[in-house]
Amino acid sequence: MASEPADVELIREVLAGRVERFEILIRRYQRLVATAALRMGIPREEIEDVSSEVFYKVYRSLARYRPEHALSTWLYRITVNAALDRKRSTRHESRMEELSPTLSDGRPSLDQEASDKERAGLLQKALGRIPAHYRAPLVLAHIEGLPLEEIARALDLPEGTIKSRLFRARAMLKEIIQRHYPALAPAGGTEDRS
Amino acid sequence: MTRRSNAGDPGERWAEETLRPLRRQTADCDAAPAVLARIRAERDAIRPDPVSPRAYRIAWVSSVALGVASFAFLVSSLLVLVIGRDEGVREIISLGAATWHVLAVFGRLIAGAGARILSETLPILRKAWALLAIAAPIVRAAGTLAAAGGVMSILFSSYVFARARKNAPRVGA
Repeated sequence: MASEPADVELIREVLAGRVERFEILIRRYQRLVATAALRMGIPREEIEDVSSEVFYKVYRSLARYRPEHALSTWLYRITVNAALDRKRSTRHESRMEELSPTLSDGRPSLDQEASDKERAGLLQKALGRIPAHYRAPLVLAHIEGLPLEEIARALDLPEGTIKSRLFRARAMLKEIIQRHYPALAPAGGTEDRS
Repeated sequence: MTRRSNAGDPGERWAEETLRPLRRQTADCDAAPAVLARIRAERDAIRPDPVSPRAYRIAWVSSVALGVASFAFLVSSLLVLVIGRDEGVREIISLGAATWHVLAVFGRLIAGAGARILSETLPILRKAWALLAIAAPIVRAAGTLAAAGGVMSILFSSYVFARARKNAPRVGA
C-alpha cells in the first residue's frame, strides 16, 4: 500500500505548478479548519465559505510556509484570523450550534445530547462576549487542546502573553457565566485551588 | 500549562470542565471544489492568450512594413510640397530664413560688443596687475605692521584691564 505523501512534499509539488495536488492538502485538513472555525463561533452555514477562504489564503501564501513548524499550526493561525475577520465584518452574535454526535467515548444519550447542545449554544454566546484577542487563546487551549508553545506560534505572540491572556480569558468567562449564564457553571465546583 | 497566578482565574480544570460541550462540536465541509475553481480562475485570468510564433512574426513584419510605408508617404508628401512650390511651404521657408538672419545679426552684435569690452578693459587690468606686483612688498610690510599693532593693542588692553581690576574698590570692604 502506497503511503500518503507528506505535507511538505505536497507543498513543494503545488509550488512547482501542480495545483491539483493542493486538493489532497485541502481534504486532509478541511475537517480541522471547519471545526476550528465552528469553535471560534462561526455559524455552520458559513463554515464552508470560511474554510474556502482559509485554504485560498494558504494557497496564496504557500511560498512563505516554513516546514520546521507543523502545517496544522499555520492553518490554526489563518483560521483564527479568518474567523475574527468574519465576525468583525458581519458582527453576528454567536448562535445556537448543532452538535455532532461524534464523541470518542461512545454516543451520548438523547437527553445528554440535547443538554450538551443547549450548553454548547449558551457557551458560544458566553464566549462571544469575550474580546477576540482573549477568546482566541482560550479556544485554542481549552477547546482545541493545543499546547502553549503551539498557541504562541499560531497567534504569533510570546508564550508569556498567551499565559496572561489565558488567565484573563478564564476569569472573564467565569464572570460572564456567573452573571449571565449561571446554568453553565460546572457541577461540583471544579475550580482549581492551587 | 502553569498553575494559576492571577486573581479571578478559575484555573485550567474549571475551563476544561466548562468548555467540554464545545469540544464535542465538530464540523466538516468540502472546500476543495470551490478553492480549486478559484485558483484555476485566477490562474487563467493572468495567463496570456496562447499566440503562435507565426502570428507574432506576421504582426512584427506588418508593423515594420506599415511604419516604412508611412515614412515614405510622409517624405514624398513633403517633396511634392517643396518641389510644387506650395504657398504654405514657401511661407515656412521664408520664415525660417528670416529667423536665421535675425539670429545671425544678433550673434554678430553680441560678439562685437564682447570684443570691444575685452579690448577696453584688458590694458586696465594689465596695469592694475603691474601696480599690484610693485606694491606687494609695501602691502606685506603694512600687513605685518597692522598685525603687530593688533597684538600690542591686545596686550595693552589686558594690562589696563588687570590694573583696573586690581585697583577697583571691593564690595563690603
